Amino acid sequence: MIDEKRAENLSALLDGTLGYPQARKLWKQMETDAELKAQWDRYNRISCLLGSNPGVLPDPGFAARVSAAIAHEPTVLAPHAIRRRVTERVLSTALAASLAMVAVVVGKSMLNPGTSGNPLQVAQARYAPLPTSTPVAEVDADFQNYLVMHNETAYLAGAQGLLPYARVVSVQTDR
Amino acid sequence: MIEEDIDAELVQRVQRGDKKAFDVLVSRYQYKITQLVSRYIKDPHEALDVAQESFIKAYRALPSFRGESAFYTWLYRITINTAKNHIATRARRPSDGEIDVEEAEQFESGSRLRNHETPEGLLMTEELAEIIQKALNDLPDELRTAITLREFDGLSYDEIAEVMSCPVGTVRSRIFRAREAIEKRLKYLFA
Repeated sequence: MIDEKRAENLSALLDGTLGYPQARKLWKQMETDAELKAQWDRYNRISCLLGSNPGVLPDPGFAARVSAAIAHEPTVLAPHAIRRRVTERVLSTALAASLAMVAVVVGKSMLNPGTSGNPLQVAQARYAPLPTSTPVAEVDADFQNYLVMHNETAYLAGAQGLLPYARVVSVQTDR
Repeated sequence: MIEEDIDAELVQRVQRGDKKAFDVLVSRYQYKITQLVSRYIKDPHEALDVAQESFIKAYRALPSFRGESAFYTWLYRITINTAKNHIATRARRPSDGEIDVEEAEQFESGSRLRNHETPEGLLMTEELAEIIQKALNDLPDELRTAITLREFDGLSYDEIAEVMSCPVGTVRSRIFRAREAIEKRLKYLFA
């Protein structure tokens, strides 16, 4: 005899109103608890009989017959389906974790706008002048002029400039 | 969604080679599947055979089930095809009064397709209906209203709570107690 609480949970399970953990637990128990499963079957029968057109009801041995037939079937595994499911779960977990992280960071900066997450300081740091590796000021002025003029007229002779474009622009800017 | 999650978990277990998980899927759907089959096939024994065949076909096809649709819609599809094939096979044999497939599909309740025309079938149906009606009438008002709204009108617990002006927990308890009371009256049928 199953206790009243579990019987009431079964009744709620039949109506699809039980929460996931409880529903899962009951189904797990029904795998080994014959009495619980018998009660489940009785509730299902009552539900069918109360309907306006009960139709055909499976006899008590129906599930056992299917189980016996399945026992003779070879066990075929489906590695792809499992792997896909697992991958989906991992991806969804990773996505949820990322969203949670973004929410924490954004929430924190919104709650404490004057502290570590000061956007102005970040902007200044990003646009600070980069250190130049080329000592432009030390290049001879006449030589610079020559290079610029050469670059401007080199195309007439069908030749490429001798210096990289960036270098020339840098010289022009300095002039 | 909860039901689909439970199905998905059971399907994965079957796909990993756990046949016991398939027994649970049978327990979950045997009533719905036999009811579905009985819309197509009038003979109860044949209907049960077709339902059984549908489950076995589903088991064989499960390794290729990728979860693109819900398990139960996939299972329903297999069942309908199995029932149609069964009718088609019978149609090739000498006629025994089987109905047309399309007619069966359009026949929502399916009551005409069942074995009610025989005297035994009719007697059983009438007796059963009488017993159930009496069991319902003997219930206290609040239990009868709750179970009727649930089973006949298909209302959710929230809707019943609203209709009966009581908490959802009370609805759940009333429906449970109604089922218990009916079960006692029908016990001899389940033996």
